[in-house]
Amino acid sequence: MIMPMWFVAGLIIAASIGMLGNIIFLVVTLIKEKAQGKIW
Amino acid sequence: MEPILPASVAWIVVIGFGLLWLVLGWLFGKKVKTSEDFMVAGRKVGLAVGSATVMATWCTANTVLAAPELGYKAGLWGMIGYGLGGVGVIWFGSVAKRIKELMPKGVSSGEFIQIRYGNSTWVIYMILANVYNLAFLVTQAMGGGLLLNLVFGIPYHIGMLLITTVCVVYTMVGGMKAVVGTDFIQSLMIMTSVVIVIPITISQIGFGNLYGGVMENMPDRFSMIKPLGLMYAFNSAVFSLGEIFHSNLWWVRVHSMREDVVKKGWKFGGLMWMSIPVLAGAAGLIAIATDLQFPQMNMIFPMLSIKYLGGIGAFLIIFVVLGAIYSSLDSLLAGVSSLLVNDIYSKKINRNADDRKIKRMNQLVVLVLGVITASFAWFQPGTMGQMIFFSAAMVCSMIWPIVFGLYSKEPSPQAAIAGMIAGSLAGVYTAVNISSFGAAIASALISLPVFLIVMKFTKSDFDWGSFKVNNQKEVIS
Repeated sequence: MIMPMWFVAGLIIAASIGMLGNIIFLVVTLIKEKAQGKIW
Repeated sequence: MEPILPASVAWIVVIGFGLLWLVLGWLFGKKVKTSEDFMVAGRKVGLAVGSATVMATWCTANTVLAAPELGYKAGLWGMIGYGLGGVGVIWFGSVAKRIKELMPKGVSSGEFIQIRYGNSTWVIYMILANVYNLAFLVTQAMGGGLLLNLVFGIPYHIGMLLITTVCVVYTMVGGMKAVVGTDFIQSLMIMTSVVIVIPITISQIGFGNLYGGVMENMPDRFSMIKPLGLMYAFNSAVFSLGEIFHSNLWWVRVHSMREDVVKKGWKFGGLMWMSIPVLAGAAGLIAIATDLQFPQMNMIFPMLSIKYLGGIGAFLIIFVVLGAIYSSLDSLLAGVSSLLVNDIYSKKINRNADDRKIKRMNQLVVLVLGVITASFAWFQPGTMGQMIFFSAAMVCSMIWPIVFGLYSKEPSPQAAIAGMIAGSLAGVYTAVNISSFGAAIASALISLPVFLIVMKFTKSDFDWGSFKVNNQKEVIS
């Protein structure tokens, strides 16, 4: 079963968006926790 | 192959990063006062640093440099299968919550085994776990030296010693706080590099050309019905369970995080990691589509990066390679030292050791581990690769004794030992005689019925209060 182009493109785009989201999540969470004095 | 950077620039960047980690380790280390600060970062690590350290530690140089090879050889299944290695991390999030409940003042995975199953099981655990730890340490240091040599032209021995020394020094100075603090920065370095390199490269080629190129050269890479690919994917998921569930590298992170964020931190960390092999694996598809000529498979990602991003690409490769190597090696040093000091020094050799002595012993063990690691890595023993391969098959035999032991009173020491031995033998036999792709699955599948059958005949009635006598603050029933 050969996967169509939309599947391959969707997989790569989803991973890219997910990774960008990860970076934003980490930075925003760090800033929030810094404000609360809860980084560590 | 020509190094991707002029030697002078490579040296400046590599030494510059080494100094950066040393300074950060010293800064984070200023807050380390007690042995608890040193071993488990004061148990106050929050969500951002917690999930980043989980992701960065699970992201070895292999995740970025070997994923393109899997994409190249196994196509979509290679990428997705490698990504399934994050399943173990995500599942461990739920287990982590239970560990925190049971052992709010715990330090190591070994002490759980000892309290739950007794000394005999603990001895077997320590042997299996530390064979794995040693092989993992040495292969990471070797990988660091080889990569610096391959990518930047830095002589192997100097590169290996540089990386190991930097890791040892900042881990000795700052303990777990230095490790998780630098992991945060390293995780951002890794993800930023990957998310720039692959999308920009694909945008220059075009999705249509990428898909068309692979369909023309190796169309089977887009097939989702490949028995070998399926087996690899399943093995990868099981393997990750074994590696994570047994290793103090991971347990020490559970103990380091605040209880209210531990479950979320692990789940986010695992999800974050899963996108890396998928994206990095796409580099293998790009290589197929563009007929990229490469000297070694693990050079696909660096070569694409340089080809399509030029000088910026070279720096992004440095970010990825150094971030991945440092984040795994420092975590190993901290995890193994706390296991050895907590389980052997504090509980067997010097039960009356005060806090200062325990902290100093940790620092000494980190140093000794660094020396042992560098000594083995100096000679680049090929047997280390085989050792980690076999020990990995063995560690999957510990999944069930740990999971059942955390939730049920019934598993007995006999069941744990029988499961571990049967699973280990099955894993090694499969690796030698059948396929390396099936070793983890065989180990886990054989250890489960053996563990359950022996448990049926030797049921115990474990007292959760046993954790109390080991300085735990709270015990649940």
